[in-house]
This record gives sequence, C-alpha cells and structure tokens, in this order.
Amino acid sequence: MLFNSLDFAVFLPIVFGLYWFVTRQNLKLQNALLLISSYVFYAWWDPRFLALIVLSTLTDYIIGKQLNHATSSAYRKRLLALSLVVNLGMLGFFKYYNFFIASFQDAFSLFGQPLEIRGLSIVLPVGISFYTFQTLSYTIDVYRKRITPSKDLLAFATYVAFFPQLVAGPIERASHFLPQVLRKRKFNYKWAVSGVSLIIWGLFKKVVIADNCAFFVNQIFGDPAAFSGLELFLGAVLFAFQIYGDFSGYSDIAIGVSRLLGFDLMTNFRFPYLSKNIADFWRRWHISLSTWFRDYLYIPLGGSRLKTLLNVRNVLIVFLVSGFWHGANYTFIVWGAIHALLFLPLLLRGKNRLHLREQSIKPIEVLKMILTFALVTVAWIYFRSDNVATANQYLLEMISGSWVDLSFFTGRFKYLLLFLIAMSSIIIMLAHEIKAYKLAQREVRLSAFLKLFYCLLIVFMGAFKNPLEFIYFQF
Amino acid sequence: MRRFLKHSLLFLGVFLILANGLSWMSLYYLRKSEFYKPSFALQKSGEQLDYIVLGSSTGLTTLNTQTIDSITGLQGVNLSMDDTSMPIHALMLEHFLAQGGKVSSCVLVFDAGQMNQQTLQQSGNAYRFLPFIQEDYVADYYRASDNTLLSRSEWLPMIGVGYYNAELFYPGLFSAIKPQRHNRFDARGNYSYPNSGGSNKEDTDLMTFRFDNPWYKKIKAVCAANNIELILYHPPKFKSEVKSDTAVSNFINHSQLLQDTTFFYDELHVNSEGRQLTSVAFANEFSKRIKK
Repeated sequence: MLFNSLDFAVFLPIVFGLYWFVTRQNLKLQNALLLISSYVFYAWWDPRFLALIVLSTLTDYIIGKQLNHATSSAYRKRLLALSLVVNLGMLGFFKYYNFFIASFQDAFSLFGQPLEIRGLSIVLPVGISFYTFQTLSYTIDVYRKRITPSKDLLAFATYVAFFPQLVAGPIERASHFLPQVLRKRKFNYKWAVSGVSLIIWGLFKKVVIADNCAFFVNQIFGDPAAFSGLELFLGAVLFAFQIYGDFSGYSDIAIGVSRLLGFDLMTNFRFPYLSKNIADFWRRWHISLSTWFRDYLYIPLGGSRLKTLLNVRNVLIVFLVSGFWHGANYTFIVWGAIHALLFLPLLLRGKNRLHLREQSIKPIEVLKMILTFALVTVAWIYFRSDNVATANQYLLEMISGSWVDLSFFTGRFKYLLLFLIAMSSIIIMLAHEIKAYKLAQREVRLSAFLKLFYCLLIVFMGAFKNPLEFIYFQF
Repeated sequence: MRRFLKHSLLFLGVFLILANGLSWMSLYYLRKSEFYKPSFALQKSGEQLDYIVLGSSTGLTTLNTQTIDSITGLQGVNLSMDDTSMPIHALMLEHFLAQGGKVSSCVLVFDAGQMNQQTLQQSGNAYRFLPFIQEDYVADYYRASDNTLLSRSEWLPMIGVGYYNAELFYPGLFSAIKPQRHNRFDARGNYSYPNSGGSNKEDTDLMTFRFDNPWYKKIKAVCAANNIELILYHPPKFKSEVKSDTAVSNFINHSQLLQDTTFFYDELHVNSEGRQLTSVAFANEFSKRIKK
C-alpha cells in the first residue's frame, strides 16, 4: 500500500478510529491491532512475503531470549551468528543472488573459463533491507547486553512490522522503539497536529516535487545521448531533488502517521542539501541508516581511533557496504566509493566531526553548501544510471555537450509548465528548510494556514496521473 | 481527541470548499473558452456548418478544412484531437450534437489498426471533456471508463482537476485571461506539423481491416439518427496500404496517396506540404460525393 494512494487514505482513518476509540483501554489489544494493520498494509503489496517478516521476527525473538539465558561466550556467538545468517541470508538471496552469479560469470569469462549458472527469477520483497537491519540491530544489542530482550512476542512483532516505517524506514532501534510499544499511549493534541503537518509536508515533497521531477528524470536518464549538456545538468539536479523528495517525503509521512498513533520515530533527514561538507551531509541524510552503519560496522571495526591507514580502510568499508546495501549493482558501489573519497580528506584533516553552527548562513557557507550539493549530485548520477559506463557517458556528455540548448524543457507547453512546477516547488521547499535550519529546528513546521496552502498545492501541483512507487521500496 | 477531531473536520471542510471552488472555476473558464476542442465545438455549434472532421492526431494534421472549404465552397471545422481514439470521436460527435450543433456530413478519419479493435473499452484520455461533466453523456462516459473515480468530478470537481491539473487547472487559469486562445489548433480547428521529419521505413505493409469497431458502429448509428452523412477517410500512411475486406461506398482511401518521404513528418503523419496535397485530393473527392 502506498502512502500516496486512495487505499491508504481509507486505511489510515480506519486504523486511527479503531486504535483510539475501540482498543485504547487495552494495550495488548491495541498492539494486536497495530500488528494486524501492519501485516494487512504489507500484504496489500504481496502477501507471500509476509512469511519472511514472520521468519525474521520469530528468529530474532527466540535468539534474543536464548541470548539472555546463555552464559557461554561461544554459545552466545553462535546464536548471534545464526541471526546474522538468517537475516543476511534472506537479504543475500533475494537481493544479491543474481548479482553474484552474474559477477562470478563475468570473472570466470575474463580467464577464458565460461561458467554456466542460471540466474533465478527473484522478486525483491519490499522493505527487506529495512526490517532485516532493524531485527539485526535488536539481536546485536541484546548480544552486547545493551538492551534486555523482549518477553512479549506481540510487542516485538509490532516493533518489527510497524506499518508506518516497515517498508522504507526510518530503521528504528529496539532501545528507542520497543519501550514505546510496551507502554500505554496517550493521545496528545500537539503531537498529533505535528504529525498531520509532517504528513502534509511529506506528501508535498513526494507528490509535487519528486513525482514531477521524475517526469523529466526518467526521460533524460533513459536516453542521455539525446540531450544537451545543460539538459543533462538539469536532469541530474532534478534527480537530486527527486530522490530527496521521495525518500524524505516517505520518512516524514511515516513519522507523521506514527505521531498520530502516539509514537515517536527517529528523525531520518535534517535538511541534507544545506550541508556544508560531505561529513555534514551524512549527519543529515538517511540518519537511521548512517547511524546503523556507524554503530554496527564502523565502530566495531575500530572507527577513527586507529592508525591512519586503518581509519581509511574503515571509512572505505562503511561507504562501500552502504552503497551495496542500496542495491545489487556496481553503480551503487561506485556511488559509495565517491562519497568515501569525498569524506576521506575531511577525516584526514580532522574536520569530519566539526560541529557546525546552524543558526546562521554566511556567504562563504552558502558557497560550501552549493559545492557540497554539486558533489552529491555528481554521485547521484552513478546512483541513478543503469550501469557505470552509462553514468560515465552521462558525465562526459554533460561537460562536453551544448550549454545553451534547453528545448526539452521549453519546447512544449506541458513540459514547460511541469518544469516550472518542479522548480517552484523546490524553491518553496528550500525556503522552508532554510528557515527551519536557521532556527535550529529538526523539522519544518507549518501553521494551519500553511497546512491548508500545501494541501491545495498538492491537489493542483501534484503528479497524480502516473503515481510512482517510492524509490527506496526497491532497496 | 475531541479538539483534534473538531479541528480536523473544520480543516477538511475548508480545504474541500477551497479546492472544489478553485476547480469549479477552472472548469468554468475552460468551458467558456476555446482552449480545448470540446469548448471550441460548443462555440462552433451555433454556426451553419456543412461538415465536421472527427479523428485523432492524423485527422487533426491531415485535413485542412480551410483548404477544403476554398475548393468545395463548403463550411467545415476540424474537431479532431491528438492522443485520442474512436471512443473519444464518438463522444465528440455526441457532444457537438447535444450542444445544438447541426451538420450535413461527418468525416471520420481513422487508422486501419484502430478500426480492427473490437474492444468496448473507453479511451482514458478524455480530460478535455471534464468541463462538461455535468452533461449526462460525459458523466456516463467517465462512469464506464477504467478510472470511475473521475466521474465523481460531477460533485467534487477537485478529483478530476487535481488528477489532470497540468491539463485542466493551469489552462483554466489561462483561459480566464485569454478565452479566445486555442491549444495547438487554428480558427477552424486545424493543426500542421512542420516540413521536417520523414521516415526510414523501407518495405510496404499491407493491412486488411473490417468495419467492426463498436465505437464506429455507434458513430454510424448517431449519424443515421441525425440524418448526417458519414464519410470514412483513411489518411496517407508512409509505405502502408490498407484495404477493407468489405466494399463500403462512403470510404475514401488515401493510404497510398503520398509515396515520397518528404511529405511525411513521421510514418503516420503528413507534414505541412503533405497536408496541403492531401486536403486538395480529399476536397476533390468530397465535392464529387456531395454533387452525387
């Protein structure tokens, strides 16, 4: 079920009504409602893959309990390994099996030994990268004795499958979310209103910004050779805003819906295109994933407290794995590598932890923001392209092609109109974000009047005819 | 909770009033303008017309009614619309007549492939008729289409206008300022592709078709009921020959009229020069039939 669908517009009020009016007095019943709603929400897409969520839930619930009782260090390690094998095994099979087969075949062909292994026709279950990481973090935290394992299967299953964030995050930690599932929720007017604000803001970013940008991006990235340098440049910029509007829009709606149900999810985006360097960008972009990698990969590897070469190795590993997490394609690995290369100079100069003053934006800082955005956008070209060669070609054509031809955007009335809608909505969004940034707010806040205004903009500027799935569903 | 629900309902109410009010306004201005063909047809329905041309982009860009009129001495308008198919042509005829239009002949420009289609499915590209959603025939059309939700625009115009916002809302605003402006057609409803393009096609196709399309049958029935002579016309198609498997007297087949690629914009559409030649050829045939 998509957040921007009519199905969800019917589903949410029903869940909201049952949640606050029918099951409010009984926590178990309320959690059961959340779990059933979450499974319905997921099954709307494909009920077969519910089994994977159930498998992941039961595995980590049982392993968590066993870890609590186990005293032998070796046994505890075996339990942790079992959780890793089940979760990463599922992820590896559904997401990476064909990629590895193809890579092996390519490698063997290089040495003149063709390898005949057939790939499988595998459907990638929506959200598998998100909920497997969520359950993994639980088991690792129990293993490290940072949290006590859940004794309530219903609460644990609700934590794993909580529908607002099930398919595209934020990737919640058990230490933050499970206690909320276990305690009685009270309806809070201000909290709910802020949730509505975020839902409207998220829908605006998804339906108006991302989907209108997608109209151009899909055509430009579909056949880069047919476009001028300026058009390719605009295509890359529009993709930067498409993916931001799409993914952060989803997170905003997820957080907003959770607030309506009395939950607090972690902030996943904090104005990333106002970052002053790449390190800053990664503190603002997909925060739940970057902190996941920090806590469960980077720090266990030694973080940045080792010798320089080892520090460099750690950064490279984290960024490459992060790229690979996004998909089974070399483009994502190159994307991760570019970010690593941009991050390393900051690490080596000790500027990766700089606490930046958010209250003011000086002219020099604006230049840094523009430069960071430009670098991030170049990396996005690899992220969006079908393969690395196409991305290289895209970059070459962008630099060498004509920088005066803009006919693709201006040649037809409809295209010009959609381009103006996309650009004006981006400017509107940035204006709000700059204001919130200066006030050191963690999210954009909308008055009642602005909420109404954005609802009207969604109706009259949204791209409804060809609704697109959220990009991060495929990850 | 009570406060939240009260405020939510109030918010929803104000939003629905504003969104529907703005949508209704945009549809109103579109209806009063000549921006799209259905509104243009409404304005032309008061004129004394001898013929109308119905069709999709090939009808729009092949037959120039100004050329035809200058040769035949008749008065006609082109009501063809790009990106449409037979169901929309039938809807356009119904609309023209329902708005009080009177005409002696109707030229239906079709493609052989289109005529072979047996499906009764509605064409989804009927947004240009949404300003007339209050008319039963338009509402019925939407009710029978895949996206039945759009038929609710009768009572909640924000549904249709929101869905087709780029096609309806902004043109509606534009029409409020310039009601005489046409969307890619001239004062008589014609449009022409430039003298460029062409086609690389090498082999000639042969396509046989039968007059079986259910929407064609509907157009035929409406014409018969209103005493309108129906002329069937197949436009030039580069390196394509089309043949009907049944002899039909009111069929003008110009599929092979033009052989040179310089007369084509692409495989399906003639360019400006091709349009001139085709319109003259059609006008000569058409006037012979009128004289009969």
